[in-house]
Amino acid sequence: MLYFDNAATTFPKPPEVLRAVNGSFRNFGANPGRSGYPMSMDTAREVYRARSAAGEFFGAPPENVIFTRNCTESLNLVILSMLKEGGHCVISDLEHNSVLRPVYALSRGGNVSFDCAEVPLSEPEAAVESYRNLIRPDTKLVVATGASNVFGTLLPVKKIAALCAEYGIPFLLDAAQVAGSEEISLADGYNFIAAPGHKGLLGPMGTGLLILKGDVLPDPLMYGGTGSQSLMAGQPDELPERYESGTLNVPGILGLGAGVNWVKRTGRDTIRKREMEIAEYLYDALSEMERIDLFAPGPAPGKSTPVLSFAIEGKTGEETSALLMRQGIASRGGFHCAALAHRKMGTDDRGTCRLSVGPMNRLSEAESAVRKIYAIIKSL
Amino acid sequence: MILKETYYLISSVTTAMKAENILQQAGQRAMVFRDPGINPVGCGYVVRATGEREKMLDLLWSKGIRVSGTKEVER
Repeated sequence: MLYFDNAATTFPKPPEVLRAVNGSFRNFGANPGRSGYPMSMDTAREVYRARSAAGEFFGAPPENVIFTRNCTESLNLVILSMLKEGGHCVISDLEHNSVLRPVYALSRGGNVSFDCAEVPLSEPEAAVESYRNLIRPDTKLVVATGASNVFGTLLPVKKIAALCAEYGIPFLLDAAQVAGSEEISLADGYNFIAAPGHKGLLGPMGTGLLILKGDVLPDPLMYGGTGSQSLMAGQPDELPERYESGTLNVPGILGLGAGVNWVKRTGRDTIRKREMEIAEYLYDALSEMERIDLFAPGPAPGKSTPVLSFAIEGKTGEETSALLMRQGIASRGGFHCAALAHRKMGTDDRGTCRLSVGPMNRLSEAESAVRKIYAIIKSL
Repeated sequence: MILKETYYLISSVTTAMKAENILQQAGQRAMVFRDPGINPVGCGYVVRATGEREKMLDLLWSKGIRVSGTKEVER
């Protein structure tokens, strides 16, 4: 299989991640933060190491790193709390459904409204002014994705964070497509960073992160046992326990810690450069083929992630993806849980086939994929 | 002379481990244990550490660590 579905989840994971997950079952199988016997303490210490690694990666102290099930949970935690009293929210017109749907659901209740800031694909920097123009006196939260999961366009999130600081509005960054490849740090002014553990950070599926600046603390999404202050009915205020009720996903967290360390050791610049070379090769090769519709500007360093969306002429995104699958190419067809992005680009009638490059892809795989796609076109 | 150490009561195991690191970096012997039953609000952790209690408390406080109580114990 030629795997080009890394925007959904990266594959394969580094050997260190597999070893960490496997080792957790053998060596760290007791519940952390609940007891004082050696295996429980050792497990808690390993979780702390993973937390510290993630914290260092995003410029946060370890306690401000919250382990969640996925990026969607992290986004929901912030959105549902920050808008619980009502108010206005600004999101972009490239947001994933994990942002659109909670905001939309709240808006159905009547006291929440939202607007979508336009992100011109040819000039994403202009999105800052789009956001500025939509901010109102009752705006309670601003959300932006780091990059479109369909078209790869990078948003000027540092500038949007600065804009939010100017207006005193909390800013939530959806780092689903950029954590692990772009420089993302609390130092850049984000109040909340939501990230998946299993994409650019190379951890196992079922892991996510919420990184808190700590100046604004949303309500927990879940309440329950934390292994601390057990005689109190109220949820502890301390971080991270405030947000981590119930037993942690220790195998996932230890795998995520190993993934973060792999990214640190390899270097984000190296990863980004390698991925972009492959994505640019794919885009250029597809551009030269007949009967291929490409739907966004080509991948470019500093402008996009290594993602491209296309379809074979006369085929839907799903049909295109199915044709690739028969030749052993793993891609993602359809609408990518991104209704806004497809409507914006006029692809909501047929969807697209997305090829997304990851840190483990090699140029030879892209060359092979191009040959296979060429053969598919010729056979139609 | 009876040598004494201090239990620093910290509910969160994460914060306790952070406190342990801070105290060790300050040259103290420090180790996290399960709270033996000191905390009136129930379960949590303690950092058992050497060093002058007031100075260590100031140090922890300066690093944002909330200590909810202390208890001196013989070494």
